[in-house]
Amino acid sequence: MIRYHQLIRSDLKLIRRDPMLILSLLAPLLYTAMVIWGIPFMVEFVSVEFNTNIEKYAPFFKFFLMPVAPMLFGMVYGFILLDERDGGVISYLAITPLGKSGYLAVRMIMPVLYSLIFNISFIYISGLDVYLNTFQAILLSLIMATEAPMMLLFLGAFASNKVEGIAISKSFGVLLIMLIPDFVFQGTWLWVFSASPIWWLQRAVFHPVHSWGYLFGSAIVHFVFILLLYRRFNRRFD
Amino acid sequence: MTTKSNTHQSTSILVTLMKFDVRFQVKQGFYLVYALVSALYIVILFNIPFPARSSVTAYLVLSDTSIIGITFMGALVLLEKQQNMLHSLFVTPVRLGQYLWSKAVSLTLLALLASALIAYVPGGLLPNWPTTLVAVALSSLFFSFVGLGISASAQSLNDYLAGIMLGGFVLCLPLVLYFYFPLLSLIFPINSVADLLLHSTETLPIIRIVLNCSIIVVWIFIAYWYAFAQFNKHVINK
Repeated sequence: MIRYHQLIRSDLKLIRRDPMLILSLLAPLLYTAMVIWGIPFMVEFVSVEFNTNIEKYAPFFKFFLMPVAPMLFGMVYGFILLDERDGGVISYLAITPLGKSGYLAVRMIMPVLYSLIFNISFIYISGLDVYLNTFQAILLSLIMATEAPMMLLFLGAFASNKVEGIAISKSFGVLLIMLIPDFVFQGTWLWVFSASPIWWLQRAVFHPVHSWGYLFGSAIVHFVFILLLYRRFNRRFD
Repeated sequence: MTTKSNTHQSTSILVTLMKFDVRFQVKQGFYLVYALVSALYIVILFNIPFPARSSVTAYLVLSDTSIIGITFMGALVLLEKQQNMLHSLFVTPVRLGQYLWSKAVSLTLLALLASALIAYVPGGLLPNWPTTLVAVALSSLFFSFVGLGISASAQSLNDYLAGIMLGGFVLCLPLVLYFYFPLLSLIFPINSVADLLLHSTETLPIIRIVLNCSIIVVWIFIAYWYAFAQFNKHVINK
């Protein structure tokens, strides 16, 4: 317990030292401002400039912003992991009582905690709570918070250096882009986008009938993704 | 005679550097990632009706593909710094200027390729193709030099990301002015690029195209000078 406590303390020190961590923790404020002022401004702007009413898409824009924070936290911690791996820090920690799995656990738990707090607050501030009951909102926040370790493990599992890490992190945006068609079109073909774990969460929020089903599905998809990525990360590290 | 031979040698070094840079970027997956991202953008753009398609394409190019340089530059430079490649490189006949131009031009090639795909395949910016290419090339060079300047002093990937987030925010904020003072605000680089992308060649007078290009060229030299000074301070004379 003490060893975890020490690593969490060193993580808090890391926040003081790392400007990107501070910025990513400030990101929730930016999102809140976007939801409160940005989205109504955009709806008004498009209505005047293009004579098109996009108000019905406002809930989607709000939801679209939500996974960005956990993904950002995961990315930032993933880059710390890449820097530490490149610098050989993980190899040193692996032979301490904390061990490699202990190190990885702390690196994963911290962004999950930050994301969870952000997600729950965001659901209520943005008004997305009208689509969910309290239990669903907490569960959805928790599942979405696991996007952070997913991104971190993805970087650790596939990037062999910083350059590949940046290239891979760019492709994370694809997971978000895959949400767009589901809100614009209809049909069973949209299941091709279920490869994005966030797609399941989007359905859980907006599906009028099968909210629970999609929430359950999203939990399974997230669990499978994390398990596979963890195994690959371990293989790569060993 | 000697000057001519020196110029020839200098160009040949630059071309060789650029070839290596492009090859490295292909190997690290930059082109693969942008092929994927562009494919998704194309699918979405095909489903957006004209004239909104032109505007959406212009904003996509402006906010993503034309600023590829600033996203990827940090990882490239940081990896070279970590491998102590830069000190070795600068004891060879390679000059700092050639190194900077090679990095900026090589990423501009990727920016041009990705922008051309999303601008011309769905046809959003096809009527406007020459100014689109010019705008992307100039914007990419400018942001690549800014990225180079920030990466020179960055110690880690997160350090760099924090730098480009702040730098990007400062450089993109004047875009708001474009909607209130379209002509006056052209003094900012992002606004000149936006002006070239958002207007078709028929509606934009030739004098305004020349003015926009001249403004961005001036900014490119300022950014180049900044990158040069930062490299001298943090890498060469460290």
